[in-house]
Amino acid sequence: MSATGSETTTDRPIEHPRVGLFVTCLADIYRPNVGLAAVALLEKVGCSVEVPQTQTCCGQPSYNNGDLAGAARTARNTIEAFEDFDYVVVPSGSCAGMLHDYPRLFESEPGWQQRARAMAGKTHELISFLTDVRGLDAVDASFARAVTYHDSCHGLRALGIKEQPRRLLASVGGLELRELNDSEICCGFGGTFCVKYPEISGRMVADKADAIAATGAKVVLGGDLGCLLNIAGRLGREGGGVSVYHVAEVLAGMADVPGLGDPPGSGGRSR
Amino acid sequence: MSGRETVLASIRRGLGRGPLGDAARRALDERQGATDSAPLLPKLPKGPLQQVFRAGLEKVSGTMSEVAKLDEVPGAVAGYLAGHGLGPEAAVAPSLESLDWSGAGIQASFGPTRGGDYAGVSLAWRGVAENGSLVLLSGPENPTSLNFLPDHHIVVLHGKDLVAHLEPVWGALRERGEKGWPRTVNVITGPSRTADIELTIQLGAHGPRSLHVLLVD
Amino acid sequence: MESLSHAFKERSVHALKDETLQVALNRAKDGFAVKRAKAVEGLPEFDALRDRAVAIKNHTLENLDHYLERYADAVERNGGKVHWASSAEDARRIVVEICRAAGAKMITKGKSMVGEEVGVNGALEGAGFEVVETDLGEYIIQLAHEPPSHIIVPAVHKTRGQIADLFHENHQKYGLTRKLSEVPEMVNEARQVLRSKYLEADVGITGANFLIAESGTSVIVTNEGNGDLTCSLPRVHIVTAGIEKVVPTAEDATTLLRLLARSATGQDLTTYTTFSTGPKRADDTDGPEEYHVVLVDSGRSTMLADQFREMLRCIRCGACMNHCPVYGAIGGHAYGWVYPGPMGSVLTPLSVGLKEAGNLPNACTLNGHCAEVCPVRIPLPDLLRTLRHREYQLKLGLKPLRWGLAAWVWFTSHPRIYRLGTRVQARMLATLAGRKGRFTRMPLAGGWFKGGRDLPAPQGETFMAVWTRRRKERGQ
Repeated sequence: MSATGSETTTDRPIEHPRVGLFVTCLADIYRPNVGLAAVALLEKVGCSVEVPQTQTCCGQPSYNNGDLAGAARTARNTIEAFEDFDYVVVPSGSCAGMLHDYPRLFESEPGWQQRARAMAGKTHELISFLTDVRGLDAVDASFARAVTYHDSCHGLRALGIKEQPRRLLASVGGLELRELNDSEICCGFGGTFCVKYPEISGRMVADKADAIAATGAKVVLGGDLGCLLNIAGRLGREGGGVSVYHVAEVLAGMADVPGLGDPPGSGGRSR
Repeated sequence: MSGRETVLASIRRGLGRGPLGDAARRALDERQGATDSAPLLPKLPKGPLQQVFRAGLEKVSGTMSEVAKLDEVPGAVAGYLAGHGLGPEAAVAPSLESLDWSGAGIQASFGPTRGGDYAGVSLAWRGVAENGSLVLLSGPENPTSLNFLPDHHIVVLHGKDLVAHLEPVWGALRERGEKGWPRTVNVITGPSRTADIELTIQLGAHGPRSLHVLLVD
Repeated sequence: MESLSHAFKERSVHALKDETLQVALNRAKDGFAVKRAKAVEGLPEFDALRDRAVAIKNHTLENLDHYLERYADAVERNGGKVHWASSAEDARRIVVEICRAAGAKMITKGKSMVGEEVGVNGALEGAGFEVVETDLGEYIIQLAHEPPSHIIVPAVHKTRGQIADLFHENHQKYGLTRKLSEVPEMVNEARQVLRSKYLEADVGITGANFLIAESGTSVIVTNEGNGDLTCSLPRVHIVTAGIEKVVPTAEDATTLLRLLARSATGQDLTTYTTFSTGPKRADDTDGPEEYHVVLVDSGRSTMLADQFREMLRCIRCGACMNHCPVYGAIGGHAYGWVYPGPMGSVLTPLSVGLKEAGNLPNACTLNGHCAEVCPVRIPLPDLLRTLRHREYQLKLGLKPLRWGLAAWVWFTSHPRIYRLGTRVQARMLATLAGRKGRFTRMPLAGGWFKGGRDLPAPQGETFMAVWTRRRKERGQ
């Protein structure tokens, strides 16, 4: 949960930084549109984006289930793939937080710990990278819907992401943000928690769905696909016609595809 | 090995060291608290201490009235009792025995109570503005039972005994020298309360249902 | 206390289905968090005080042997007696012996979590004493023969109706036969019943929120005043306290007091903060004749040795459970031992073993809310993760999960195979889901659906596949 390597490697901004996109396993498999949206947003702020083909998972399943050696193995793969970029950008607070925790995996391997620390120092979650590092405060997109926003826990508490997505959403044409009561309360995903304790997790996500319904908004946005899959799964089961998007899809003007778990071909919500 | 030695040895095992040497222990004794620095005292709202004290007291459902001289205390107590529909009886701390209670029409008993009294009158050693708290010291002059058993607790506080924070109280206790700490220091902040049933706040759980301060200034 | 933590899964599911419990939990849910936030907002120095508190606790723990000795010497100088208990068993035996020596019949108790931990009540009742809990919440659960479900509001799981029934059933013997329905009359009735117990008791047992080394003082905080009646009316006062409760000075305790009530109930300070130093003095007209302190180790000294030393900073405010969404969903009893919620999920496995309580550190989403509100900045999620690591090393967890993880690690460290596998998986799932766009069930993924949710289907192509195709199209 703590940002172990928060030192930045660059004091003055690089004009056209080489950014390595760590797309995350969930976006890769479930929601390629999030990766494309991330690329589009990064290019808009002058980044040259590359996607290392050897990237896989950030290692959280192992890390959070006590298999630190396994997590270190996965982490080595990530470090080798990304350590040469100016920045590593991740469209997930949770996975970005994991990369920040990598130095902890190498307490007995100083060489690797050094490399982990160096990479952690230049790793950012996508939205906060756009605002805090690249100074973006408005996007050129429109989405004429009332939306609500769920603050994913790791982004919120480990990385301090709260105001940044709201600032950018405020610039989206036609979008009305209705704040979610308990937006800082966990949705019940928690990685493997949601399958190990499905009843508790189910109660938590049902509470989240109730809070979402109370806003009257028919679109939920968030910055972490794990949470969004969980929320979309619950909303889909309830059948209330609420769509779920990653915030990057809206900010990039790419929410013109069905929301998570919506029927294919059900069309874009707005453009 | 005695219980003491067993536990201490186990602690030292946990800390990964042996007993501390005399010099190290002396250095610890000479520290000003754990952080070896002056305590961090929260800034109080602007205004005279009495005003801050009153605000704190009222926030926790305590009440306060003022009298100019100590002699006026029995009269003020009589007024409080009448105002609350209580008979003119009170269990009074011996520290206030010299006042003219019968002159104010009050039947006062002096000393500890076993619970038969509706009103108890005590003398505070200090008042703390930070939270509207009263500091009472136990002793033959101020039996602790008066603070807890009566339904109504009336506490006499001298204006000169009002301090900003709790910390100066500890300093003053140390300066009592030989006497040091009494058996009990009661820091009292409002009347007794509970929220143990459905988190509903109810005054007068086991202790006094009301707390009234008579400020002598 | 005996642990039921091994049955966490069943107990948590049971709790979710208990409608009365859910009503009580829902009532508690927002109250604490909102009140705490307001209290913290009212004290701009709160965060700076937290840093002080961490420093105070860390320093004291580093020199715990020294401060405990100073504390014990001061207690004895004041005419009190200190007893050292290495284990829960020692603590029970010592308390029973003191009560026997005092010729006691009736014993009143103020709320003490360490008392619950070592099982004082059971030992005393077993030895033939009558024991009455005096904190209203503790009294209620004593009547119900239940353990506390929260460390500061022990009966938070009970509704007014259930409490009315308990009083009706248990107070008839005092001639109180009317069935009550309103909170004020229930509080009054308990006050009336317990008043006679305080006056009758031979021994009063309380816990301690802090022990002050310089003066040999024990500090308790209460709102009801029950702790004061318990420690000042009976002939004998026994304090039970964990060894980690000691701080060097009264000023150190005051810093911690500024955090404690705000974090717990959102009060600036509790109504009664009571500093007890020894038995009654020669010329005192009230107060106990004997003053005993039972210092309980029971596994705490072992925690000094590693990362879990941080847990010994805990001041038992309950903020972590008040902000824990898992606790909020299932309440405290499901955890199966004395301490529930995040702090309990760390302490329980350390006390009763990971084999017994392995579920507790796992039943957490690592959302970090507990650490955010902890007044002494205990990194609870990190400690829970460390317990998961221990469990993994001891091979205690679920076997299928271990195999799954091992397979995943192998997969993620072979990128080419990973690329191919994910491509096939995304395509296959999208095709299987068809026009629905989501799954309502799936073999081998039952856990997900047991949570009352569907699984959104992938879009079809993996991002990596799309990206590669694009780059080819762009001729890169």
